[in-house]
Amino acid sequence: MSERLERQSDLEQLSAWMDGELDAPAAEGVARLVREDPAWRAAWEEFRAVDWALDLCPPVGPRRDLTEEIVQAARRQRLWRRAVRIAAPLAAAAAVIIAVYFAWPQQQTPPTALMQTVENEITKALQDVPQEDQFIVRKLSFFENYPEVKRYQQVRDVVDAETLSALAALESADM
Amino acid sequence: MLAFQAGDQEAFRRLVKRSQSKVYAVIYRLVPNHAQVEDLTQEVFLRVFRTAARYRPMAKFSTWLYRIASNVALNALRSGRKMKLSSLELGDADDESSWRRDVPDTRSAPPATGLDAEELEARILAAIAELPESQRIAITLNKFEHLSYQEIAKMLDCSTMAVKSLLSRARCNLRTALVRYLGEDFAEKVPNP
Repeated sequence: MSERLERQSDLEQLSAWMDGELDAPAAEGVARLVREDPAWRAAWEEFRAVDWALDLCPPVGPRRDLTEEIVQAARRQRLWRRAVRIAAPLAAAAAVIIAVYFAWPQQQTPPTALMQTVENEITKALQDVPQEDQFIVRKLSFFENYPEVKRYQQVRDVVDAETLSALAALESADM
Repeated sequence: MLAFQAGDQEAFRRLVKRSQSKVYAVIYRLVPNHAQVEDLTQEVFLRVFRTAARYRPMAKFSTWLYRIASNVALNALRSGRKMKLSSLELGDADDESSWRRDVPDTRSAPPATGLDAEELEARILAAIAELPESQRIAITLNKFEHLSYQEIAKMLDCSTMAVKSLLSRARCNLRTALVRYLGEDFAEKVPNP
């Protein structure tokens, strides 16, 4: 076994030399050992065979251009985040509205103005959101319940404030 | 990347177009399954998209990108999505021709091992797949992506001495594995330079 290079530090030097990572004096030293020492020579031949085998691996690349797919996915991701930003304050507003509704169940004031205000704001907010993402906001319990709200005057301010806050956050997040 | 960071949305498209091949190649060496690699490549760029604001040009952009790519690939492996070697797609001739067509093949002729080229490649890939993760990443980045020790060290967050050791050990392990796959005398079959 005298002709086998075993020391890890020697193998590291040899490997680094083959990768062109040694400075000139060190590289010269390894080159001389590979020329003159059978153990170094044998180790070099084995490493060279490994490199040769690696060189046989086929070059790899995508089977198709993924650019549009990735860009669209990124866009959906951004819109999803935006939609969630809209949805969170609206959900809070919905909770307030429902609470008000149950607190004053006898009031009969129609919610037309409130509905119109909220609808306008949501329509504006959703104009950039693809159809498939709009359900996030449209499915909120808020929209299922607000036609029944009676004390709209009290809650409208809350909804306006929440909506404007959501839209402001949306604007600042919009890259 | 800096243009995208500054709000140029088209810059992201250009970045994806320019970098997807490199990201794809790195992931494929770690997770050799094309369908999965496509998903993971997308995941890498979505991470870039999400974290663009935090990017600081301290190192080369490609180093940062490779780091994300290898993390995503390793996470996929660790979460049990690793494909078995038997499912390597080398056997699918149609598929192979389609994914190879856009990549220049600069390889030399294979040595006379008695194996056909596909079988030889499969055995070499199997040998690479047996390496410990850090060695596999180091050898992938050095041999296939031609990164220097310093670049790999930055990517793996370790010293260049550690990279030197990783690559040396990777070569030793590959030598052992290739002897098993290709025979004791495989080194003798390699043509002289």
